[in-house]
Amino acid sequence: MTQLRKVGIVGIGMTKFGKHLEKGSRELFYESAFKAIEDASIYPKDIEALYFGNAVGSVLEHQAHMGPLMAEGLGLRYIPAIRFETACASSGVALRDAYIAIASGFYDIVLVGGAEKMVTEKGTLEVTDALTLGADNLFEYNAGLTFPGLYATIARAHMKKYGTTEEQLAMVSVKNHKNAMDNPNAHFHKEITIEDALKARSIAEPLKLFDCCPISDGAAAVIIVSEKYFSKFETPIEIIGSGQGSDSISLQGRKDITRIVSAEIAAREAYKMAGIEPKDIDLAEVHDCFTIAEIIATEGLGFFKIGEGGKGVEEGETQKDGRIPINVSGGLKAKGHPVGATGIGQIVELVEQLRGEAGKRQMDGAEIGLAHNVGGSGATATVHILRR
Amino acid sequence: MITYNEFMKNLESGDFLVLKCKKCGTLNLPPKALCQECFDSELECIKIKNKGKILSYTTIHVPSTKFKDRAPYTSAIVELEGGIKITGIVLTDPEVGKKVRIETENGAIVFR
Repeated sequence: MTQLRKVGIVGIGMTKFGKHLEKGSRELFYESAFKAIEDASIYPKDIEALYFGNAVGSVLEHQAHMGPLMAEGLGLRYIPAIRFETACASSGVALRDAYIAIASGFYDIVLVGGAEKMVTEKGTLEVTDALTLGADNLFEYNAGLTFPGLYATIARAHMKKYGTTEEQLAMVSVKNHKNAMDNPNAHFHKEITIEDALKARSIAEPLKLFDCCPISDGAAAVIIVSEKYFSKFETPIEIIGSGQGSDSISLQGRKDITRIVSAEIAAREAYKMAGIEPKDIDLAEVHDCFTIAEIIATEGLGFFKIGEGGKGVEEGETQKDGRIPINVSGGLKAKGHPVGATGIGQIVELVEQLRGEAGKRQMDGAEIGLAHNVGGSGATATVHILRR
Repeated sequence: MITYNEFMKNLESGDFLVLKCKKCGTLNLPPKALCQECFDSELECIKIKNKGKILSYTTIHVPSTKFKDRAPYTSAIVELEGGIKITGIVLTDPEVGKKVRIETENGAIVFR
């Protein structure tokens, strides 16, 4: 590989994640993008390209071709503007490709973000239906599977193979709800107990309501620049590692349904590029669309041995004061999961933490953070490592 | 190359077709252009037993729109010989490891 240029994040912005009844994806994205532009103290005309993630706007908003749509509203008419769709990893992949474009010398200043409008007059059934576009239509959708159903199938297999328990799943949810209490941008500000989680109604057995992330609206954006411009900004947060992997879109096509190999591949690449190991990470934002997903994420990222993620959460190792704090923001579970915005939402959280601007959530002395974003039931994954 | 439609049509008449790699022997679920293990393109269409064991399952209470009148129902992944896995709706009491027969019903894969 040719020598890559350094890439840094110099501006961040996000909307609150939750219900925005009066706003569509465009208003949400304008809000987050203007915050990022203002945070970076640049002019919109400085931006050379827009990399934008959105997953299900084609169905829920009857809107595709969103790159130019978003660019126009931000005064960015005429620049290259692309929408990325890789299910729930849409903006993680947008960041990955924007990183490549800057690192390789093509651009110097790029706006990367994502938005999703999910709370509409359509109900849970329609949203569930739209999200299944990220699964295998012929073999999974036709077999009645939904996203909760896919992760429930993974969960039962993980429980059977490694002895992971419903209580351990509940502990992920309790922790993330607690963490979100300190996050003003989180969808939920409500603590729950293990009992609440265990008694909640079934969505797809063995997953219950509090094992599942909510349906959220929201947007997030970052400005990333090449090293050429680092000196012009106060605290550029460097992207020191970027990885991406893929696997069969269907669970039935995977070798082992208790692992998400695409994320393991992405992690290996990111760690290698950064020249660090899992033990060097101070905090991680991982893709906990379902509680079992957080457990598998912490195994695949090397924080726990394969099969021991459940034990890890039970022993408090992923708590804010634990060995490896996971989802200090509240995660997808409690911060919310506007799918196309989630990958960049994780990056916004890490940058706040690494700048020391995370308020009550601040992890003292945090220097290196990791973001893990998964699309579908694991067909796409990105991992990014940031350093202050 | 067998298409998805050809695979389903054969399954309707009780034949579970797979693509066996002539080079490494791996069984591949159609449609595939290459062996998923060794990437060889010499694939031979063979019939395997339409029986397998439930690998994992879930009972779905919140369905997609297409299945809204059917919930709750159980979907599962079943493993057949040679490691072939297939997803379908379970029409018997679900249990991990249980032996089931792979059939079709109104164009969908079901397990009995």
